[in-house]
Amino acid sequence: MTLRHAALSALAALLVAMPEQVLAQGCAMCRTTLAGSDDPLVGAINASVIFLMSMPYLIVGSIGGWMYLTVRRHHAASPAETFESVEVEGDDT
Amino acid sequence: MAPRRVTPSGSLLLLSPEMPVPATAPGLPISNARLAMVIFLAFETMLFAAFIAAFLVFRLSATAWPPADLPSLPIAVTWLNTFVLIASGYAMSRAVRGLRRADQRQLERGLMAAGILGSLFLAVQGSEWVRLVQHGLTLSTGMYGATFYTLIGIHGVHVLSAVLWLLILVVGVQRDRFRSRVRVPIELCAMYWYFVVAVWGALFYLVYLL
Repeated sequence: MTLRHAALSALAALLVAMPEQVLAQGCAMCRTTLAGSDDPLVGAINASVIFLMSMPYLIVGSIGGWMYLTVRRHHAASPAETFESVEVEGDDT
Repeated sequence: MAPRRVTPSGSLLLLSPEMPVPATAPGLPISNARLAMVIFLAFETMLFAAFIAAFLVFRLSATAWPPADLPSLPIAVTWLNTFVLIASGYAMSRAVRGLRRADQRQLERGLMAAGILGSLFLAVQGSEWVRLVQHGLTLSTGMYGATFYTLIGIHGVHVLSAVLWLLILVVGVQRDRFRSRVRVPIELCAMYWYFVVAVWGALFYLVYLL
């Protein structure tokens, strides 16, 4: 076993051995305020977090979809077009 | 005069200044400028998302919204103003269509109409803000006032910058007609304009109707 394998195994073991609650802890103030509470603030913060968390996925997905469709449409319109195939008429230089 | 092959690095330089320059370089499905604008709009989307997320925390946790001692927002006028902004987006789409058809008149009319409607939107928003301040709703009037003025204010700044950009383009179009210097900026400005209109739809629902 190389040193790299040993380090990776140790890291994996550490992650598995780490108590689940440690991962679940976020901001101490938020946790103290919200844990086990019936306050509507709990639902509001959860909705807000889910909204904010979903935005990067939506943005990247939208841009990726737009790029995919644009490229596909472009290739459908001009399948063999490349830089080298474009010619300028009437250029004597 | 034999036709000459165009290399990627020199393809646009060979075009005459009087010729309409395609928004996308030959062979490239998406131009660099358009891709840069898309990335910029992604940043802008995250900016608005952060403010909307903060707004949601206060809005969804509030038992009474608006608070009893503060004025309600003017929904009817804002509905009309929303239609004004949507109409400006339509005018911008007409301008872009004019650009693609090389129709100078349609392009100029579309840009002017979009600019006027955008300015009208800002004027109505400004007058409503003055009325709300007179009724006691200010930036420091609790979370209701703070979230309202922050969200709508940031959007207003975006509309203002879009209107200014549009004014510069209108001057450029009248001077340069269809030269290469105005074509790509018009398409980028149109993308920004559509973004501003779309964001307003979300803000109007969240701030005024929710």
